[in-house]
Amino acid sequence: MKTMKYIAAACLLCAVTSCELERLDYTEIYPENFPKTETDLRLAVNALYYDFNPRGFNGVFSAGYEGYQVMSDITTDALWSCWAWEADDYYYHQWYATMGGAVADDVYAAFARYNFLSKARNAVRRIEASDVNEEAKALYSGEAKALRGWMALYLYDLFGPVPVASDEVLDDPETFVYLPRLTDEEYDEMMETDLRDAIRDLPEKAEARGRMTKGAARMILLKYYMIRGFFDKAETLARELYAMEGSVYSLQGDYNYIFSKEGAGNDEVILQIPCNSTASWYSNYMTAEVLPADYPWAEKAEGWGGYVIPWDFYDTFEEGDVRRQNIITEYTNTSGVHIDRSNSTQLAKGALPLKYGMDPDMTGAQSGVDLVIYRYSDVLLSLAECIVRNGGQPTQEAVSLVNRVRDRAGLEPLSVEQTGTKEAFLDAILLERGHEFYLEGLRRQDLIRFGKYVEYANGRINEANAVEGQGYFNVDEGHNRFFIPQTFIDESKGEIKQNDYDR
Amino acid sequence: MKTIHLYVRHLGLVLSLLLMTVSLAAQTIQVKGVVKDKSGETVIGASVQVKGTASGTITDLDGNFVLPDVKKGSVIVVSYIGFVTQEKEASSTMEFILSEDSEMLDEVVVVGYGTQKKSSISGSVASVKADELPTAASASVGAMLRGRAAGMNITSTSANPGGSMSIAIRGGLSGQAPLIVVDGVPQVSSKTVMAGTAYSGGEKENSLINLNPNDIETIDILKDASAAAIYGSDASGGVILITTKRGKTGKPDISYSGSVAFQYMKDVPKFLNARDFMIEQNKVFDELGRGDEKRYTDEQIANFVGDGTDWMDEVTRVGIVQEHNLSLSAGTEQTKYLFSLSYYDHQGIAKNNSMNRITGRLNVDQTINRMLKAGISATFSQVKYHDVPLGNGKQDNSALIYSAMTFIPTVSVYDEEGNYSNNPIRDIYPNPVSLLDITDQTTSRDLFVSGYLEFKPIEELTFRGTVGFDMKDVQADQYIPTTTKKGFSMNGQGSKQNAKTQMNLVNLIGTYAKTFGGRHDLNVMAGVEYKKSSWEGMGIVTSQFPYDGALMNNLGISEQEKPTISSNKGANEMASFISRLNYTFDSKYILTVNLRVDGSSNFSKEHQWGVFPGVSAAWRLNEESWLKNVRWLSNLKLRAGVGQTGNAGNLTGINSYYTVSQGAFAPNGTLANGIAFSKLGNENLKWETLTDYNIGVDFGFFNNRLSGSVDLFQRFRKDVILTRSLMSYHEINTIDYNSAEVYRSRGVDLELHSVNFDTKDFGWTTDVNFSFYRNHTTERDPEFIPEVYQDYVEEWGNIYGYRTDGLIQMDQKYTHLPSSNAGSILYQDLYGYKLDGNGNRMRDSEGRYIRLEGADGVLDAADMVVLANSTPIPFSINNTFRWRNWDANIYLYGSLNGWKVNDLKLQSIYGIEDITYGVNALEEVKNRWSPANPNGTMPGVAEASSGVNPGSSDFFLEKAWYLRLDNVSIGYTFPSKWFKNRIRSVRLYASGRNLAVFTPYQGMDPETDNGIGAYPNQASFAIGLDVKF
Repeated sequence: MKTMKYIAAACLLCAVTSCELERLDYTEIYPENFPKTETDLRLAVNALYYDFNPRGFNGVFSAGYEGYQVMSDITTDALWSCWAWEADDYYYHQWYATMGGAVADDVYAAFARYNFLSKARNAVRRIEASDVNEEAKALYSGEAKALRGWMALYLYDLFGPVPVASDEVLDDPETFVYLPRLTDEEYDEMMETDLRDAIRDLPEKAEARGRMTKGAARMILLKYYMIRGFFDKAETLARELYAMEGSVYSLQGDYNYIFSKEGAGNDEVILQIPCNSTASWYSNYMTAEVLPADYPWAEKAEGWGGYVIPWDFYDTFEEGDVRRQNIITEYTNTSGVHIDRSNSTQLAKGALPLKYGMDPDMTGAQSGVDLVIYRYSDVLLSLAECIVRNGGQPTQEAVSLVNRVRDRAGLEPLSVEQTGTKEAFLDAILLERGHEFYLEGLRRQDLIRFGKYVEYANGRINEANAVEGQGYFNVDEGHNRFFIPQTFIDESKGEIKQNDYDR
Repeated sequence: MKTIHLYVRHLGLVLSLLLMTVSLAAQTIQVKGVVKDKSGETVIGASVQVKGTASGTITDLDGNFVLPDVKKGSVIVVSYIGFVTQEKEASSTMEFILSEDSEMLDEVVVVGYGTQKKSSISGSVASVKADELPTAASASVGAMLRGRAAGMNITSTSANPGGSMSIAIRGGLSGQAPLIVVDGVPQVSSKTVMAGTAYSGGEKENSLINLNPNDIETIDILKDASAAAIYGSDASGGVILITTKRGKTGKPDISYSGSVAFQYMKDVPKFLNARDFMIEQNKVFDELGRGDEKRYTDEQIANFVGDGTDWMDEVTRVGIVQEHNLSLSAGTEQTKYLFSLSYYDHQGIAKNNSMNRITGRLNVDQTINRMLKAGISATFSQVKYHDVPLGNGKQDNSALIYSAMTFIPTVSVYDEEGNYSNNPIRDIYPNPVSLLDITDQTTSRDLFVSGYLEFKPIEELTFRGTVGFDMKDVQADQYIPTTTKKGFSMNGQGSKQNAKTQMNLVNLIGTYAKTFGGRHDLNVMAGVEYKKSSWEGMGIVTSQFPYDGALMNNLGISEQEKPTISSNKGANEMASFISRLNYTFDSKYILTVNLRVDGSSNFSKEHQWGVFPGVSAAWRLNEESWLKNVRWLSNLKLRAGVGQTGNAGNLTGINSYYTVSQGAFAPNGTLANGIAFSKLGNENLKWETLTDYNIGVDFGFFNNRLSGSVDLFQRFRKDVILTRSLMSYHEINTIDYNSAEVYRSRGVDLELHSVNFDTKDFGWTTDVNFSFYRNHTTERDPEFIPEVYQDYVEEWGNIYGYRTDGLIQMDQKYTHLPSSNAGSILYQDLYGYKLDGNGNRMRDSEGRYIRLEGADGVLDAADMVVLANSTPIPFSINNTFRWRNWDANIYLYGSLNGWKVNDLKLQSIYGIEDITYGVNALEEVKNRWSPANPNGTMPGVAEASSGVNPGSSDFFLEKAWYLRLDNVSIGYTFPSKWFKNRIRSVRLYASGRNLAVFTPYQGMDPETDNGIGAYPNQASFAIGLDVKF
């Protein structure tokens, strides 16, 4: 017995000292095992799309104020919200670089997304280094590059150029390299490299709606050129997209069909976030944000009753504009009561942009209608704009492009006055764009491009101060870009320079 | 039972006969006597000897003895374990009243891989005897231990049945829960499983709930690292050693104890009744300038009948707790066993909320031969919960309690069609009663078995091998039916999730103990241990059910496209060398050295091993000749110790890896998975260490009538494993690392025990525990930049925020509060930033922005100050009384410091605009500022648009120290005569638990009121019965 025990003890000692202790966790996938196959590449790219989800604080298309589309529209004349919180801070541009609170948090979240550029770049490099057939590698790296360009566009749009890490810096994440912002030229080069590759490698039609295509990549680059004021390059791209009409894209006959459940995947849409009312991370919440709780809608739908189109903007729509049909000015609620400006806080502030059609399966706040990001009518209006800006004259071609959009909206062609001069024509295009793309998150950039963003904001500020006795401060052209949160400037040891804000 | 009884009698008879025959010769008397203890209870089985002879007997079941032939003038010696031996000259009738051995110091204390006499302990160890704890209406021994040991701060974080607790030993500096060791084998912690469902129940206590409190003999707490180092890297949160009862030599001991308690809700805040609700809603519409949206006419309000629905009343009830315990223990010299069963059932005060537990235990010790002994400890427990939705959800996510507080009071529970009524103003809020339809069951099972084999080749040397495993298995099932709002929108949601955890352990320990030359007491222990912990689990959450009837029991009928499915599995290993030296010289000088070497698979190969030493020494001054004659001093011991423990954390930090992100994207509207890089590994991670310094003194005066101990401690936590930010532009911009931060805890623990009265009829003892500690961060990483209001050496528990000065009155406007109008909180603009010539903020030598006193017209971080510090000062007083057959106990515990933001009040008042949607509010909103009520002290409707979060100010911050009257009980023990000695003792008692809380805090219970929808705490009234056969 005694010897037995000693043997046992000796064995135990041996076991303890000789074997290396091992840890096991099946939920971790180690770099030596991934990515290895074509499916792996698709999974890696799918993970990149996640950052563009329509829900959650970091999702680019969150329907809250921090989402790109809402943030872009609510700082203009075309969207407002009847929730106190920070809606008025946005609508009246009451933000400044040293502020705290919810707006600062939203801006922080928007800027913090800049690490997506590193994420996508690493994905591209992993795809290219993987041992998979070249065709698949080209396709998926093209997709990753287009996604990178897409995020880079929004970052540039909101903040101007952001710092971008080189491959060498990415390879050594533990070393602190304090990067300045790229110059505009460096940013141009990055955008062109990524997106030109993507345009080359992506298919014309996606295997599934929502995935990147040649046209979507062109559209992203077109948007970038428009921001940069490269109207000649923009015109070329717009013509390339225009050439895809018929084979890939078309102008839908019915405006409202584009935003309907049945219209999912219609060929006017160039890029969308596909939605599914049963998937909380991929549902369209824009409807719920607008929908009053007592509005007769899908049986299981829930409305949060927030967003409105301010009445003064609503009033700019022409009579008979079909695009106005889904902007609700009065309704009979579920209890049979007539609701209008006189008895609804929401309608008192503005009309209800129920742009996205009813999804009968909408449950709670989750609707399954795809979120539209870019569509073909934007190609027409952008091309018209480029032609005028490049040529200095409203050409017949340009005018007819705009009139195609107007015609679809049930409106007469532009008047002679509106097409008479470059300035008048551009004004008409800006207004047309406002009506065509309400709630689509394009208004802010359009106003900036036309030099009206700050002017309009000051108009609202002055009116509120005069009429309601508010004490809002006026703003200057610095507001065309958001401020960069001080945290990032501090982190870069001052390498990142603030935008044009004096406080 | 009966046969053994007879056997004992016969034995006595035989002995007596024997004795009779031997000593007939001399002049003898017959000595008859009885042996009792101080309370008058007879002592059974006490040894009665005629001094200097071989003759003697033991007392029978009535404590009586007879010695037939005793020489006149002989001395009778009576002894019994745990009592002072008494000697008296023999007479024909004798009564012995034994007093308990006041040398309490020689209790045996469990110290990890062995025991030590309390007198030779040099580290900081606290002991609690389980039978001193009132059990009625407490499920977990954790709840019973609140306040029972200085330096161990246990607080309930939620008042639901089986609700969670936090246990922090000495300030909880390590951030780890204490290691719980039951009969020498550490418990594995169980995992929470419910995730991804629309509702979840209350947080649960997972550490001690699986134990039947009645099975526990003693609880020893290793507070400082000089003692806890023996558990090395598992011990950074301290160690709680639980020793269960075992069979003893003697006749069978059967005992039953049971109690039933009724629970009543306490401290529920008052919300507006229907009429006041309508009035306030109308007022709020006016105050918001939206008077035309009013919902109720004055006539409607005047004609409203009754107070409306009291939703809290609709979802609560009187709670009932009942428990039954049965235990049987017996033993011979060879075999000793204890067997117990228990049942505990708690019907919570929220309807449909319950918890019940069954436990079984079998402890067996078997002596095989002179050298070998073996035994097992096996326990099984099953805890079943039925949960109700709890938590901090608001609006459509409101859980049971919050929705009962805030649901519109003007509607009845059901509408005319018999369906749950809705909020007619904004139909998104769940009807509170509908939430009771949710099925939410969790079953948690634990099988915890260990066995040992002890080999003792010679008296001084013992080898003990232990194998043990702890298997925990949690199954959580939930179904949210379509009668609830959420269930309706999802067509029901069903889920089944489980988690299994297992710990396997084997160790071999050798102990050598010998006294040399009568003065050198040596005890050496060494051993090896191997431990493997593993876990696995899976879960399905799905919705779209065609009907509710099958609940979650036929998930296959779900029509959801892509249900959430998940599973996981993992394991880690630890190998250890353990040793201890304990040396006592002349019973005066004591030295203890602990050493443990741990290897953990959580670290890369180069950093797997860590060494954790602990050294302590003690000096028993009362054993010195110059103090031995000081009569009033019965004990004086100085102790000092230093030691180290480690912490491997819950690390996954050494590996870089990708994880699946389910439903990352929805191409074509169909969810697809993605795989993303999610963790950047750091191979250089190494152990965190905690270093403890402890000095203490144990004292006893007047024959230990007043005794206690005081410990001063200081603890440092270094190489803290934290997550560090990398440059924010990286794909993964955090990494785990060993920080340069140093945390320090300093404090004092005080324990006092006083025997105020100790006469035959009346006894009164008082225990006082008190702890005071403060935690600081003393050093930082080089790149650390303090916030403008932050100290470099920062005290934990600081609450930072804005100071406020009442409310903004009519026609007042402040530049630093551009969005605040009359009725808003007046946050104070106390400081501004110091700017250089270029208008940039200046920094001081530590990198912090410099602030200047005086308003700068902007409310920002520069205006934040330390408002309060919430570090608790745990405190308890226990009084035990005995009067004849009566016993009584009064127990209070609490914290002498505490600060809390009253979240519910903040939510109700700050969110007053929600009343326009039909969300009810606290009665206190009547006291809000409005143009019509300019003297109101609560903020008006304007506050919501101030752009400042009132939670980060002192406005809703309240003092939250408290003292809880936790137990008041009175019991009566019936004399065994009444039962003709067939029953050894019967005790009947009544107790009140949690009868009162003394606190300035205005919210719900200051201990359990966490968040906005906290489960209301309860007062319990119990009656119970203890019977021993």
